[in-house]
Amino acid sequence: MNKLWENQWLKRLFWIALFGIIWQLIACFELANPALVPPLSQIWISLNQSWQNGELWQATILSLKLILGGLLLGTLSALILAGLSMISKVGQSFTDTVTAIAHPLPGIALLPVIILWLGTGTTAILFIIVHSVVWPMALNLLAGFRSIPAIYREVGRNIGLKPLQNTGLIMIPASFPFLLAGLKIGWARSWRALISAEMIFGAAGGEGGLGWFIFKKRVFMDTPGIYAGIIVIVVIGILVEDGFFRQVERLTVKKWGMSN
Amino acid sequence: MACSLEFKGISKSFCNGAAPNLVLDQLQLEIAKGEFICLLGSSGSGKSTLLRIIAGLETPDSGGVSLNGELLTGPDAKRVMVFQDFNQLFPWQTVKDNIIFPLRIQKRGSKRELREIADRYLAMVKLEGYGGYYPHQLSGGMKQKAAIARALALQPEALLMDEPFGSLDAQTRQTLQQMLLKVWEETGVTIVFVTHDIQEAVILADRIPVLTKNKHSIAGIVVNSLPRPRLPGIPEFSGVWRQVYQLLDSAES
Repeated sequence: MNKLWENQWLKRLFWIALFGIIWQLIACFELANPALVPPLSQIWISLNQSWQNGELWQATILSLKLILGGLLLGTLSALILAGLSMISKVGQSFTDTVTAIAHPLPGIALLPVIILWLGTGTTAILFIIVHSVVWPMALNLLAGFRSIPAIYREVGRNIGLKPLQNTGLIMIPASFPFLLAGLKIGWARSWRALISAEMIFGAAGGEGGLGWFIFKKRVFMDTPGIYAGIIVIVVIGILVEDGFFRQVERLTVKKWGMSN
Repeated sequence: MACSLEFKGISKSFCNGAAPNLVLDQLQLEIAKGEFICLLGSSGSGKSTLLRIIAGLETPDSGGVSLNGELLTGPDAKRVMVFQDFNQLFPWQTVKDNIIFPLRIQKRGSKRELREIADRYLAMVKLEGYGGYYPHQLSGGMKQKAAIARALALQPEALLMDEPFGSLDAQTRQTLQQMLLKVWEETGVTIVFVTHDIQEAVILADRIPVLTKNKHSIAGIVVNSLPRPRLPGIPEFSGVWRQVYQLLDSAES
């Protein structure tokens, strides 16, 4: 029994099942308005239907594409910002100032301006995602770079590393735990940015992502549909956390004894 | 004697607030090729600074170090440092990759050749079978052995060691001292070893330059010609020990 309890997936499943049972009991005994807490069977039917007719998985793919694009752009920009900050004093004051201004600014607050600049297409959504990813990522990377023990740099100089090699071969792996933490934060924040932007913009260019899907279902008071959309987001979140981030950690920082 | 390292009038001070703090003043020293030198001194005597100047990690305010008659500028792989810090190995590389990595940077051969070199030096420091381990899986003593192997694999002219055994327990320290002597005899490398432990210096070194805080330089050099292995119990050992101690004591008072 103890051994079973050690299994990550079983542990997850246990709590999810418990939550499902409570939900189902509330729905069966109509302890809450059935329009607000529909039985699981209805949610399942709605999920299945939307998936079968393509509406849901198309929305999912669109959202994931935007998020991956935003994460990639945001991470690259953060690397450049943090890199600039490390190589020169001017770069450092630039990055510090820009981050101080932009980091506390919610992406949604920028929406009106972004609509004026970029319209309501995918570019605008991408912009908001990048905004939500780049600043926490840059801060994490900087913290990572600054935490690198001086001895690594000295060993690097001693064995004849050039500055570019020093960045790629020492700085990046040495700050990998921070990079990974930044990526996790970026991943979570990009979902928030995406969903809120989609709910406000609606469909971009005729097709909408998961935010738009949930929004549409609310307009038609289709609560099982709303929950279907939310469940897809949750499932993707768990899959990426357990399936991707945990595996990457196991193969890198855990293996290297660097996890903090 | 064939001169390997030559220090000419080395001065160095560090700015500590307003007043510059003089650490080394017009220091002179010659080290022969293949010699084992222990720089001895209390903390703050500038012995580590001197070692870092040899490594090229610090620049002297005046004077310079030459290797085989050539004036040194900046660090290079001919003079390799081994630090006291157990963290000097890169944690994201296995022990073997830690040894191969500098060789790859220095383009010392094909992949297979480098693996063979790494195996050879791992065997030399008695770490056969640990090549696939990550540094965090090793004890402190093993990490220092691996760091020595990494440095030696580069076949440097001079091995610079900054209290490498300072954080080890007495037993492990003794084992590593004997291992280092064996490796030194096998490779014929020049070793400059910084320590504040008189016993360690007497066990290891051919000559022991004693640095002191108030002279900012070498107070004297004890020549140690005891046959190896040197055991702390024998009377001759105590003789050299006392010589070093008196030099250190008289210079500090």
